[in-house]
Amino acid sequence: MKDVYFYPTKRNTLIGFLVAQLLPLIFLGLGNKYTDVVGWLQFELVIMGCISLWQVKPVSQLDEREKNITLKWKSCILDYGSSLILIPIVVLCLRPEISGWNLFNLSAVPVFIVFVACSMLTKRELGYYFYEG
Amino acid sequence: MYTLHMQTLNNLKDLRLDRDINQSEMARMCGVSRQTIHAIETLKYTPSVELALIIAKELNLPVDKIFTLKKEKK
Repeated sequence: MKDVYFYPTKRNTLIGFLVAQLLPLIFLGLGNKYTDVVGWLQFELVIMGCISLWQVKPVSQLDEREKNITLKWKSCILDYGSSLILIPIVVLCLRPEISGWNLFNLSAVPVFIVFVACSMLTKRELGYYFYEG
Repeated sequence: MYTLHMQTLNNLKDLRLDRDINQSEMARMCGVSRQTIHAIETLKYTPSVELALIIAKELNLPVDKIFTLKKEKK
């Protein structure tokens, strides 16, 4: 089977980042009220997060050390991510009238931050941020 | 009461340099990344038995000539 994995080289990352700038236009459309500066900045955070989650290699090409490190940080994501689910549950107990959107933000945003932080720590421990062949 | 702490030492870097092989070539020979070879040489990572045997085979040496166990009493 032909390898179709796109490696996050510096060039690919830059192209991905620039192309991703069109995402707000694709999702929200021109002239939407959310396509203001703050809305765009939120999209930038998501785009940066997605790029930081981009694996340096496909799992099938990781060697034993890389697999160990990846597994260690993935288990951290599970540990911290699952414990963060307690936040919306506690908030819901204290303020049952809270809106669904706020509840989503309270659960999804911290989990996303944990995802991004752990992915960056994985890459730091692996010894590379960009794929270099 | 003594607790034995063991550390695996290796002279992979010396053996590699003796043979005029760089880290990338060594990594390719063993089927791992260059960073893994660097981590083994700087004692940041202890390879599995399988990888240790592959390294020994590639260097044409017995495993115990490359890897040694150091016991520390604490």
